[in-house]
Amino acid sequence: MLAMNYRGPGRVRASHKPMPEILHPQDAIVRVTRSCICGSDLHLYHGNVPDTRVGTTFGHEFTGVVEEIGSEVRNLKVGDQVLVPFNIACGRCVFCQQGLYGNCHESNPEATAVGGIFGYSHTAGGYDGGQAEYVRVPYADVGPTVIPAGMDLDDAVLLTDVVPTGYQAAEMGGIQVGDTVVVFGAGPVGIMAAKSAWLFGAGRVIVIDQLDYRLEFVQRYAQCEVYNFDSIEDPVLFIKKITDHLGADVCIDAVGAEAAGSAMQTITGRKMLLQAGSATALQWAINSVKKGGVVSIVGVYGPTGNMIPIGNVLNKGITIRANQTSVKRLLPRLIEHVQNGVLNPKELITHRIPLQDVSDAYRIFSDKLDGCIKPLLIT
Amino acid sequence: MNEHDNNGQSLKDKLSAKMSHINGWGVDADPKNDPTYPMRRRTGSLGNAPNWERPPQQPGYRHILHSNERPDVTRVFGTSAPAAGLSGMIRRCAFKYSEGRFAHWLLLLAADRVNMVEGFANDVRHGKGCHYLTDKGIKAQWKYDRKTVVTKAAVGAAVVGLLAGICLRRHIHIRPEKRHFLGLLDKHSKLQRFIHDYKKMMQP
Repeated sequence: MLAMNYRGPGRVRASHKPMPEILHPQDAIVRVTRSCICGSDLHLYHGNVPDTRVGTTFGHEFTGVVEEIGSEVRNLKVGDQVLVPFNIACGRCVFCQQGLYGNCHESNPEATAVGGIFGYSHTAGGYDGGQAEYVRVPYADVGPTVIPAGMDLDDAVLLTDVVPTGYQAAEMGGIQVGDTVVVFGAGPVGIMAAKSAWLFGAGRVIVIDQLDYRLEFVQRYAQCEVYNFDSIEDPVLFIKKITDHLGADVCIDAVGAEAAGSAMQTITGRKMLLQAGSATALQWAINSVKKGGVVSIVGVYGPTGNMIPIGNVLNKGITIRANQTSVKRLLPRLIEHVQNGVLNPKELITHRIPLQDVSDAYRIFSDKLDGCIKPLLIT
Repeated sequence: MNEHDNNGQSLKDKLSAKMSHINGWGVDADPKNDPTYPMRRRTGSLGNAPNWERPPQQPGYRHILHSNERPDVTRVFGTSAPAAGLSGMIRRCAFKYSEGRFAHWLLLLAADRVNMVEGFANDVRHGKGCHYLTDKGIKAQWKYDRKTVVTKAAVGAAVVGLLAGICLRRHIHIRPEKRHFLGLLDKHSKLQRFIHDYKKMMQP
């Protein structure tokens, strides 16, 4: 079968790999119908995530058709059209039972801090991902969800990560009616976070990014205020000035480890890998949130450490909330939102690229070429 | 009272008898003061011990590296690229350290870079070394961002040219006996033949 194949930092290709097999009685084999490249795949692509091995297939956002099921699978049958959450969750462990499906303790032997994730290095379990024609899906009774009749597959594929992650970012912000919310990052997750902030009753939503085309998109898509930090000397000071010098009630970091905007963070975090990525967005979020406010983190960082003003977290009494998204917990509500037209995620897809051209797809997305917001791989 | 409050209340009832020896235990307990809700839905029946009914074990687990912060391999695991070669040895060494140690992650990053070289060598062995530029998505970059491709090519050519110039100059001007001393001279090397031919050509 054809699959994306990682060859080293900045290098991927489509090549033929053996078909996946049922390795566990609760596995299913899914024929992929849609898969996306996620912003967090770029951390792998750039070689920033430890234990990313040559030969791995990335991809944690995909839909497909169930081709084969293991002997203990009860909730799925061959032929079902499913969307597959990016987390691999057993549904039984102490964390899954609390709804923390993104923190499953039975899916990732290599690290205890993170649950299993499709196609996200051996640090997240060593599973091959969905940027392929077929994929093995463990714990098939837990994660995969049958796509409701009539739902567009382009909407469904974005319900596997982007939509729930943006929504959970807003949810973790504990947004109260009338709150001012600042979202750092106008990538797909940041766009969905801005859109979701309104659903929780925000009174004002502001998005900060560096790319005008993305800011224009989010301004139209989520009806929010947008500012390009390249045209602002000091983003923190700017946010203070536009929020009565108090700061925002809630700040959302939807950027993560590859943030631009600070030479110091970029050199130490992205170029020299002396810290677990560049934490510029998080630094800005902590410094521009109101005293007693909430910082919500969904941007992905590496496992070591980052330079952030933790003293200000204490002095300002900030609550920090963060987690990998618990997709399964949020799906029922989000499917409802998509079906009712409250959310229209497929508008985010700007590029449809055949799987065999995956190296070009990564380059376009990584370098933000051709107005790219969300690339979809067609198998 | 919602499900969340109910759970908090029932747990409080359960524990109050057990903790009766502590004066004031739980008097200020407030189930609503839970910043983790609804991310974490506590239920009174759950403790912290790993006492859930574990699924069956996926076969082949003996060769899987696992964090030393857990007692064993998880019941399922990925098999995308088993640790092998020199990079695999470094990875095995990394897993001797816990996730809280820098050594663990730095060794894994080092293994990744070694693995990259192993992968490229493997590509060359299988005649795929020429895929290097296409793997980098050069086609798309040429289409949408020609300026960067040209700049990178020019900088690359300048650096290679400069290095080649320096090397050549160094080798031509160092006395043969000194070159031999420095280990730069091999009687059968192509470089020596090239220098010899070059000198011959330059003679009047």
